[in-house]
Amino acid sequence: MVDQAYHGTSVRGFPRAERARPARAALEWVDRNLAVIFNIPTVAVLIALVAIPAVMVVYSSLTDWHLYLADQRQFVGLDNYVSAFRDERWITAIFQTIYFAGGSVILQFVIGFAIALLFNQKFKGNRFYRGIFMLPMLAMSTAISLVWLILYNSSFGPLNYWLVSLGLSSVEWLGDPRWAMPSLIVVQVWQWTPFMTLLLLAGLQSLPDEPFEAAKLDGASAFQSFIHVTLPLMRGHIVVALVLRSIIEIKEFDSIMTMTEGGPNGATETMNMNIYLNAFSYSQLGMAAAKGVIFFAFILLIQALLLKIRARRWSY
Amino acid sequence: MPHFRTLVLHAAAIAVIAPFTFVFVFMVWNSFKPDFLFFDPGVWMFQPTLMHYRDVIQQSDLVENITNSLVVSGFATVIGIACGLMTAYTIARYKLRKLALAILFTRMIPYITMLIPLWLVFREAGLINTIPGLVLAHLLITIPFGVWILIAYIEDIPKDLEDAALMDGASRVQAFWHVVLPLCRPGIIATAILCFVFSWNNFQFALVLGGMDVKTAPVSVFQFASPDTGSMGAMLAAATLVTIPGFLLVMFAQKQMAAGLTIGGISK
Repeated sequence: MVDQAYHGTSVRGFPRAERARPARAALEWVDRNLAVIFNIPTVAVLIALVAIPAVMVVYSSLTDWHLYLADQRQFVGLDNYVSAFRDERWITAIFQTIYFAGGSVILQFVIGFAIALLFNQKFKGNRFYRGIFMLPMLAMSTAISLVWLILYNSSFGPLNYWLVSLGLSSVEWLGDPRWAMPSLIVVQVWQWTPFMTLLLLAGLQSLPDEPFEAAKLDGASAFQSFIHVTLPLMRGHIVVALVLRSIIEIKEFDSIMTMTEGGPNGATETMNMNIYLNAFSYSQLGMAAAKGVIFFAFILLIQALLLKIRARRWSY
Repeated sequence: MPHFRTLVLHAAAIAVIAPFTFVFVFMVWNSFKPDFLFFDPGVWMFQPTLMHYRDVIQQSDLVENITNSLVVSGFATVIGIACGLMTAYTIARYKLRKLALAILFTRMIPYITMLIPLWLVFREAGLINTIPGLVLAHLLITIPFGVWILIAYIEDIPKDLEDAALMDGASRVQAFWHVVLPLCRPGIIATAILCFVFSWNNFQFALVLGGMDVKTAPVSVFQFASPDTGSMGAMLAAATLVTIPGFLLVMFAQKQMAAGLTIGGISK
């Protein structure tokens, strides 16, 4: 009301102000409701693409929905969830997801930390090397997987060529159920170690100088100061990086789909692959929906851990 | 011995980037290798040929699919950044904690879980196997990521500048348009490039929602993967064609990249 009175009395007496009054009022109305108006597009998209589908996926998971029997869709309660956990292939997929993600993240962490320590040194050309080093994570996974398909090719791939020329026997990298998963993990390590390095490097660069200077004054060696100063100070950053990377690796799909499609003999079938095959190859949408919900719960569990750890530095 | 230290660091850095670079060098160099030489992986020196590029361009639908990708990722990036900027601005200025958490929450949902219902909705709505449908789906990539990074950039803008504009009688929308947007332009460009790259690289949405009618670059490249059809040279030429332009784009904006990636990475 005060606002209206103020703007109604055209202070400077310009006639234009009189004419512009409705527009001015509209602008003020927009300003007062900006937090709502500015978020209409985003919230509309999120409701259409997340909220509604989320309700649908939970509902579908409680039915025996099969793509080609859509008319007879019946409510079956928690049957899908029960049979998911009786499905040996699904249980195997859970363990293979842990194997895949765990293996990838641990290797990325060890290698990525060492590289982060290197790039934390000040030297000319550091930025240049770092820029090139970061390229793999920006590359298209399906395209990179094609290159690795050739590198791993058992007959004409360079890896086996080198093994043989060293006098070793060649390996069926992607064709042997024992080797397929490690081979896929190597691709993850190649593509995503730079991301791990980036996260850890950001942590290293945010550490205060004083503890390191104090350690130096106390005569600590570089190794001692790493163990007793760097590691404890980095703890938060390390946990965050590990959990973040784990969540992304658990969801990995592109490279597995391109290189093995879950094979050979299901040896690289992760949860994501299993759900994809259930839904879009076998058309068991009800079952796939239930597994999708379980998959999400699995990720939430890990993310909950992240939020708990991050709570101290949580701004939003 | 400062010189010795520098030397060691350079050697270490080169040793580190060598294996990471090797895959790209192998990809690009061998995409020029004549077909008959692929049977001998030991051959690195040869008369380069463009035959694989000619084959890929003339005999596959890769170029058409790259065009699809440019359209899908282009629209998804522009719309995503526009929505993301407005949301990020309100989150930063009005401290909309719940909205920020909701957006973080959407980033945790695996795409595969959303794809099952989305596939049904899109089929009912006639959006399946269409470019507008894919643009819509890719907003799930660009909006949450865009919001998350842009919050940090907008928070970095001193509030005083905006307050000054408000004191001078500008409305909030005007202050947003004339003060906030110009000031975070580098951030917007960096975020847009990252959004574009993530959308460009995304495989799962187009695989499920695009079908055989609207294939994007990753789906197109994926089709080269069947070991029976297509030569290795064609696989590498296709991989090079979709990888290198993105790198050039990113190098072009390298300065802003490092900061952007770190901020986005923390919450990815």
